[in-house]
Amino acid sequence: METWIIALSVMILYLIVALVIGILAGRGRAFSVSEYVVGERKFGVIITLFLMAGTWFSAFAFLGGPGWAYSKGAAVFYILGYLAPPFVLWYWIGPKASRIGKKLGLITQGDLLKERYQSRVLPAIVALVATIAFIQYICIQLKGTAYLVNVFTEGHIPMWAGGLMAYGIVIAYVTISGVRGAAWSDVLQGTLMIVIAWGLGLYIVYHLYGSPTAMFESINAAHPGHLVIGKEGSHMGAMTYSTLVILSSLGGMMWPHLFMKSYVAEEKTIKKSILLFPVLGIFLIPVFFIGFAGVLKVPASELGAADQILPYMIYNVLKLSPLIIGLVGAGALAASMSSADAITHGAGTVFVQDILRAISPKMSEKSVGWAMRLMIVVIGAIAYGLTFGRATLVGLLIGGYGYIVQIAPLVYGALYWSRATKEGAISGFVVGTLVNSYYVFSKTATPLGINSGIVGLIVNIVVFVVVSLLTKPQSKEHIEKFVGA
Amino acid sequence: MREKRAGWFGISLFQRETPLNKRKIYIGFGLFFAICFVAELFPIYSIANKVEPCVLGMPFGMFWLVFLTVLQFIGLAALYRWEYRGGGK
Repeated sequence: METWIIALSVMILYLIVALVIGILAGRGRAFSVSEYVVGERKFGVIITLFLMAGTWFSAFAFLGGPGWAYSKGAAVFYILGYLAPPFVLWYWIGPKASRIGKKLGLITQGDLLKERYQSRVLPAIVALVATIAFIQYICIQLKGTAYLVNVFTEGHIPMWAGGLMAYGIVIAYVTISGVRGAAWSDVLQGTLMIVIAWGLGLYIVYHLYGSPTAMFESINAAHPGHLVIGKEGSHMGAMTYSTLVILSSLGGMMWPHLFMKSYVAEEKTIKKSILLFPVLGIFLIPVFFIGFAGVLKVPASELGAADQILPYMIYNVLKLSPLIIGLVGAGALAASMSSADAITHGAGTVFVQDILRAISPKMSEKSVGWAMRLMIVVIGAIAYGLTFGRATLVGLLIGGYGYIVQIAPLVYGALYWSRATKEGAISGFVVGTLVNSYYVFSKTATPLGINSGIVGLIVNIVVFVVVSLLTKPQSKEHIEKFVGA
Repeated sequence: MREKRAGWFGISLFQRETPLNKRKIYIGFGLFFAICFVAELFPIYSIANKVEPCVLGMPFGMFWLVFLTVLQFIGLAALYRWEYRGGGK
């Protein structure tokens, strides 16, 4: 049988298993908004961990990571730089958000903003901007999946069909089972992803170069500067690298779908799953090796895009058995899908909860449920339509972070600063978002090469603080429910 | 007491019931994490920004970040231990 048919069969088999698990997970539970969105706040450590990790490591880690290691070298290390800091921050804010969430029955990040700032407009604006970022993020996942299926089937399955196949399944189980569907399939997907990353990463390096050290020495000899930052021959400057680490560290847990995870578990469970996270975080090391291994073996002209390096290496350089190719394909599909499910679920939830419910507060529980499902499908369709652009995967991701990080001052202010006011929050967020957009869309160089999201964030914080101090403080009792919790 | 707590520009980083001696320990942990984070960034990162020596098969600049990541999680584990077993809670 031809290689691509076997590989495709393995991937399809995997997709069927993912679909079945996703659907079975939600069986036998009566629908309620709280169950659909936060699983009645009852997940254990392992599930919470995989739900987080599945969301965290996505197509960008599996394909974009190697793509950057291949084309931009040491610049990819920034991803390692923000493995721990968001979790350190979350250890601090997660339990507090969880306590407040339980007391006030919060479901989304926007609910927290709505309650603290006493504003329906603010969460709606935030949700709108977040939805744009979400769609960008879903595009990454879709594009990654499509690349992969395309290369692994020797082009027999076109990009659009590969994306449709995998994402259609995600939409199906998320629509049917809500957060439970995502959680259970993430356990399967996370495990598969880690096993494959390590097996493959180490195999590639030892097979092609003898050892990782030998590989890096030969890359350094052939391309000096590729493995460091801000030197001659490097692909990224010191300021850009540093601000990118800051951006991602502050933005990491501000993604509304990740923040919502504060509400799915108890305080202690959140803390425990944070402690287990490095077990999964270390996963990234061999994935980068795969991209570095390509530097001396694959000329750039051979690739359609740098992000195709992983599938290209496996298929054309290593010529592995079709069964293994299929498994790797399944692993990478897992990585994309486990992020896509959580993001799509998050996007649908946020849109309905923070925007629709603000417009018509009297919606019944049942129609909220249907609206969420409908929005999941709609957002999925929009993302699908936008997917085939030109930006690289990591590039798209950074674009999303520039917007998401603007939420950080609002959340920290809501939890820790008694002087924060509605007017301050709204004006800070709007100005910060506009500044970031200006740099992103006009393609103007930022001062000193600072990341545009960080420029926006600085302006955001200044406006937030100044306007808050100029406006009337909230009542003591009200503040105490949040800052004092 | 209430006034004093709310006095620091209206920022309160701790739960109300956390006593002063425990707050000091939290601040200690906070400083530790801040130092680890700053070490990931330029200008401090420039001491690690080189290929040689390779450690555990990784270029030094990559190893440095992995090392700091592990260090931060060890810090979190210590914090958790202190909170739940050492009488922090």
